[in-house]
Amino acid sequence: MEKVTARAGKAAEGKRAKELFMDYGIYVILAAMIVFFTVQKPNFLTISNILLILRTSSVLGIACVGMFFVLIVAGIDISVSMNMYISAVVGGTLLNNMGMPLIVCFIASCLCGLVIGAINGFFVTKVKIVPFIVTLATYSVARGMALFLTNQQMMFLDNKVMGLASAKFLGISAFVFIFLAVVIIAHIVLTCTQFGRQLYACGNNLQGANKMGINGPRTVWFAYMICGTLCGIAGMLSACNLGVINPNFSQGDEFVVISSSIIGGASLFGGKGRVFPGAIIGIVMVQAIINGLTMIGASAYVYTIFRGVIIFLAVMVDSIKFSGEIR
Amino acid sequence: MSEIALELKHITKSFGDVQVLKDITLTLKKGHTLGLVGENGAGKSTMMNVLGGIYQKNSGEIFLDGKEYTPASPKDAGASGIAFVQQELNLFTNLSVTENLFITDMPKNKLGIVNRREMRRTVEEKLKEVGAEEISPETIIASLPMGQRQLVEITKSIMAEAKIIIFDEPTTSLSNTEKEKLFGIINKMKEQGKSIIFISHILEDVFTHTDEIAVLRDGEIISQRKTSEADAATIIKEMVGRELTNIYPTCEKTIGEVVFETKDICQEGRFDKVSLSVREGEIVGIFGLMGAGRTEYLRCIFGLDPMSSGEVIYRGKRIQPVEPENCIENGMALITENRREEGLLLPKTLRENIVLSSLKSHRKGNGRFFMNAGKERESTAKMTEELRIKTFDPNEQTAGTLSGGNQQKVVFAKWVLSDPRVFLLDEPTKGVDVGAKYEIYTIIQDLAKQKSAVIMVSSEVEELMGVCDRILVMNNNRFTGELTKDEDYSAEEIMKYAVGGAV
Repeated sequence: MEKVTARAGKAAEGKRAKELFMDYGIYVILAAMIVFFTVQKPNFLTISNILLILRTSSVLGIACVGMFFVLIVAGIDISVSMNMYISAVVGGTLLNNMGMPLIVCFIASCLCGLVIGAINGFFVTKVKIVPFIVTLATYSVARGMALFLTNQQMMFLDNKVMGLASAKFLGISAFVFIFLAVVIIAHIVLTCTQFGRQLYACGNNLQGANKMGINGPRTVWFAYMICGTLCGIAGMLSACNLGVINPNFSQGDEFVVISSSIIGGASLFGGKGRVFPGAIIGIVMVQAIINGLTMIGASAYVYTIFRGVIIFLAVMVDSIKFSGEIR
Repeated sequence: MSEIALELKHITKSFGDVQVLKDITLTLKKGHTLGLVGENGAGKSTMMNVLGGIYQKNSGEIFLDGKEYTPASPKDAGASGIAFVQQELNLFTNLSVTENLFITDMPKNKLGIVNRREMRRTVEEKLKEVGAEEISPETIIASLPMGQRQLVEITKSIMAEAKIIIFDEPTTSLSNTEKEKLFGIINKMKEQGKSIIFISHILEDVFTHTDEIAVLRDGEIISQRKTSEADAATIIKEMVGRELTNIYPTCEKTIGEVVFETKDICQEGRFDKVSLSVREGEIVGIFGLMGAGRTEYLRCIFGLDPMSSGEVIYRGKRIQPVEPENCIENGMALITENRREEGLLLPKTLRENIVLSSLKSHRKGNGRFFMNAGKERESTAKMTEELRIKTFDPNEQTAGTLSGGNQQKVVFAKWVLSDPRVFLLDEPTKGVDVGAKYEIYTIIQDLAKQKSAVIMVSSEVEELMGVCDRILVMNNNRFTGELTKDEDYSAEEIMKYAVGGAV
């Protein structure tokens, strides 16, 4: 009998160690990489570089917040990057060709993102096609349309955008404050409203949610629309940041957004994750490493490989954790 | 306190041609607990679903507090004061207790921000009401043990003012202390003037904790009487008292030595040293009511569910590791109860289905890659004839278009072709009509005649008595009784073991 309990104790200990590794292992690896960069390039951990990292994180961070909504309802949105592209093109065209004020361009970008999100949501909830395929299709369509609209040319934005791109408050880029505002609003919606809690419920057990009187399809649809809208903002912000929309605009960013969200605590299996501080931690960590790789002069290919490895690790940990979970 | 809270009069309900409820007449007095017992498939769930507004009754009347009651949806039932505590819990495991209880109507201010303090206060009150104040309202469901989750589910049922609470097998996943607590809560609810219907397979619980007992059999209420006037023997008799209507095939066979054994099977939280042995050519039946652990036992010894310790032995050789692939390699076959999901490729032809588990032996010549279509056709033809599968062309017809009985035969054919020596059958005649049942019994007998060892799980006592050489009875994840053919077969005896032995 004693033996049995001893064995059980040991097993429990092993289990705990495994859980600890699963919960924090990826942070340890990422932190170790940051230490590595600091040792290699002392410039890495300077205030100006940190501010730069925060600023670059902010743009994709907003898309990350959107991705959180979709991941919480157990969906996925591959189209985020191309949604950003087409939204930026729509906003940029209004700015350049019609001389609209910047705020109108932002609203147009949001609407463009919202439409793509609504299309995604419609096919996922009403036609019941798997989200991966639906959003992969909209990814391709959105990219094609953006390339068509720009004639595959670089689109230089009007100088008006420089005002926003260089705007600072307390020495910190305005982008960071926009990101923080989005995170705070999203956090309040997710934790303090009935709609937010129902999103988690739908992600946990959609059929159960329907049985309990929650309008499951509508809730999920909303999640995609929120994601799309935030991508619209992110796209336009990104364009302002760069001052130019080139044909490679945000290509591959969907991987950064999805992996950052999962590192930040969301799960591909749904029902999990907190935007605050998850979305911030996730995106800043990933951007810090991308920044570090650039600083040590790694080739562009290394960055692509890294992107693949990081999403693989994040998803692997997510899957292993999930299999032990009671539903 | 003898007003009538709920009255059912001559309720009937059919699905297609099958009449599930024939004549349900039942009364529930205010402040009373009514125990409802019956075999699997007697119609208990259907009856509850009619009450809960999930199904609509075909005829008859229901009176709630003397007023006619016809629920159109689960929402209606809730609004009328009928609450359900289901066997399977409907909780969101990623949310807190409070959030689960309020998921559809959270108190909120104009901005849509939820009033957490108010929710917390209500939940604390309600938890106290069911005597579960040790559960913190902020706990995430996933971190609660099953017993406490059950309490949360019960709390959910009283969030709206319920007058009648129906417990459907609430104790299956509870430990003894948790069970006692549950009964404490039920008694407390009763004192508050609520009326309770308690459905359970465990007669002992029904006898100690109810005021009245009703027996349901084949869609009819056979009896309803005061618990103090009831005795276990009569109740059991009424539960099984069906005439033997089926005829069973018999065959001459010799039963040899023990060939298949499972020794001291343990599974965390379920089985504790549960063993059985089967002799060559023997058909052993396992009977048990829902949740007794029959299916789980088969799955465990076939390696589908984890086994923490124990041995599976075939002809003196230990099968290790116990994993489905290795078990099949060693001549075991498991025919699961849901053939549509697990046993068949419905959109594929019979031929493809039948040769599926013996593809290796249907390859061309000595080659490794190509299938031998001629040989496939030959085997398929042999099987369809041997097992009398009714089909116009096994090479063309898809499995999905067959009747239930014929589908089951295809599943058998698939396994028989790969020539296993130990058959584990889980409800082999579920959803199969009477005629096809007879043919399936014949197939099972034939398997035994060819010196296979057969273990057969079933919910039908009568069927097991007709087919098996020996019957083991399971209750609460252990074997509580064993009966041998021609010696001590009796349906009452089996049911007695199945409801937990002595009452």
